[in-house]
Amino acid sequence: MVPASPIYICEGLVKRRAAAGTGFELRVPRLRIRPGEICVLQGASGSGKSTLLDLLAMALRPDAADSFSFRATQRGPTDLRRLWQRHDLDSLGRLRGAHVGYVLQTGGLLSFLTARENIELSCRLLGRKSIGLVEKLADRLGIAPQLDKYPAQLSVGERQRVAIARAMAHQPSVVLADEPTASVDPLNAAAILELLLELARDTGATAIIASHDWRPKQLPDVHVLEHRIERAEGWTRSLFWN
Amino acid sequence: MHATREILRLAYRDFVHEWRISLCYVLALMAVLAPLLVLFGLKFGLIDTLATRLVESPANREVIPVGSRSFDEDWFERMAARDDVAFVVPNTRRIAASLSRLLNPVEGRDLRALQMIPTGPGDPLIGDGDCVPTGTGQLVLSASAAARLGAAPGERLVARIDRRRAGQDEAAIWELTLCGVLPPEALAEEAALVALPLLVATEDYRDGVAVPELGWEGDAPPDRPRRFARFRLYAASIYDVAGLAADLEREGIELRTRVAEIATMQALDRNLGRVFWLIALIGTLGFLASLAANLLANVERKRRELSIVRLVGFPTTSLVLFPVAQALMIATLGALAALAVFLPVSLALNGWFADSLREGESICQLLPVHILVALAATLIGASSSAAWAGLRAARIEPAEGLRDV
Repeated sequence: MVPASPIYICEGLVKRRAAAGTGFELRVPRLRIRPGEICVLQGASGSGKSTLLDLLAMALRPDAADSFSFRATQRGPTDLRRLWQRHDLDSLGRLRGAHVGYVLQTGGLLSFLTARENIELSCRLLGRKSIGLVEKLADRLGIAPQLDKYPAQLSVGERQRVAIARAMAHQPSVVLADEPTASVDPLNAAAILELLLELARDTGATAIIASHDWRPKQLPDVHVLEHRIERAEGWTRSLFWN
Repeated sequence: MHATREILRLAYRDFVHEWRISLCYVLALMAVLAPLLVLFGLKFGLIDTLATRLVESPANREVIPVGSRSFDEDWFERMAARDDVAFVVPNTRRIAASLSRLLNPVEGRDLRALQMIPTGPGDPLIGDGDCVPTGTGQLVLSASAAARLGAAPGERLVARIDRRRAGQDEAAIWELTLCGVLPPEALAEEAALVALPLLVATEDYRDGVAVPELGWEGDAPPDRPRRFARFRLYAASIYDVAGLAADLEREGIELRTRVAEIATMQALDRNLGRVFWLIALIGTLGFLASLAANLLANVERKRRELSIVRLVGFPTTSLVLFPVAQALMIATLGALAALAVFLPVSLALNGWFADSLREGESICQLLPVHILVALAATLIGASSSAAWAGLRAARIEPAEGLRDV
């Protein structure tokens, strides 16, 4: 069986953040992620996990890249580097809206919409019917009774479950999750991550999850990205690759 | 298309969800727009009414000869042909130009020594479409004269003029039809406006000359062209009065005009206009600045929401549309609220000043077109500042606005 072509190809991907006196550089020498793969980014806070997820979510402009492309199902690869060079935020947005679900560390929900409307948002933007789907997702995530409440009326754990449902409702090719359980108690956190992985497996979505404390030893099909920190005079370089 | 429909829904939901803040924006807009509307209302009411009265008032345009001279037919033709003359009619000697008595037989009331003023088509004292007396059997009365007689248009009055001829007191009595009454502001004094033939007839009668049309006996008329002692003349506009008066004075005619008063009033009008525009300019700039500041602040506050919307995949147009739609809601509601303040205020103002206003005048008024202009300016100002802010927000990378705490 020929392995499916990668959904993400990154080579020499660089994002720098400069501050007075110190500099930070995120560098991805080589990264290939296949459809359906479940990847975990581990690293201390400040190691650039969120930055890498933002880059993969096409929400942050890379400073340099030898190759940076995204390939959604049944389509040829899209050269993200070129779209960023043209600052084509609309094309990047279209791609992200159709193929990517992003769970943020906190929030990420629109406070003026109910949980149900937040979950439906991507489907409505894409003009897809989501009848029944929202309820099914909510059932599995255990938030069915909360669907008609506003985010402010929900607990932090419930909000994260809604955010996961929002990211999954339009059945994206990739789910990105940035410390989705950082602000939830440990028991809840494990349950939420389990649910996220389960949902990703069921839909065949690629999942890339950043977490500084989660050790999914017991899951054989989960790949943890290689990671190393290099420090030099006034510079910190964080590398991720596989 | 989905994106546009969806973002409009989101803008509306957010606006309603944050109704307290939305209400603050609407009230803030109302608070600056309402006084501005009242100010413009006063401009188009009070100041324009005064200016129109000044420019159009016949009293200000009248050029009155002092004393008697002698003007012939040619002179009147020459004057009538001038562009700066709106109306000119010959007038008889002052002493001959009055009715000895005018009686309203129904009421039994009368006026004595009532001044007669010559009139004709185009008389600025007589409104368009109102009766202009002709011949020797019609007259128009000033409001005060009609009130004294208790007479209404269409009624018949009895006039008498006296003369002393060959040592005998004589009188001519004939019937006149009251064909109209002047509005009170046209002429304050008691007077009768009559056609020139009647004035000429009474002058002849008093000179002892026969008037066969009315059956008045007397001498045969002298065999020479008639000359007139005085005239009634109105300039085309108040701006023509000075030039016209100068020309007439060059002919040696002594005149009375209101040139000095006109200059004073014009200066006052000009300065009032300047004061108004100055206040309006400051007010409008302040209004636009506060509108723009509020809407920019709104977008700044919505940065996180806009970033989420962007992250979900909405295009740039949606990010611009979101604040623009909210700005339009704020602007529309704010403008309506301002109108809701303006209307009762203008009604009250017009009520207080009702006594000093004429038909069709108001102290504070905005025409529909003014209100539309105000609404359009508000909407354009609101949507352009919101669009600018939205465009700025859309230009940043989606990740930048997401993690602000």
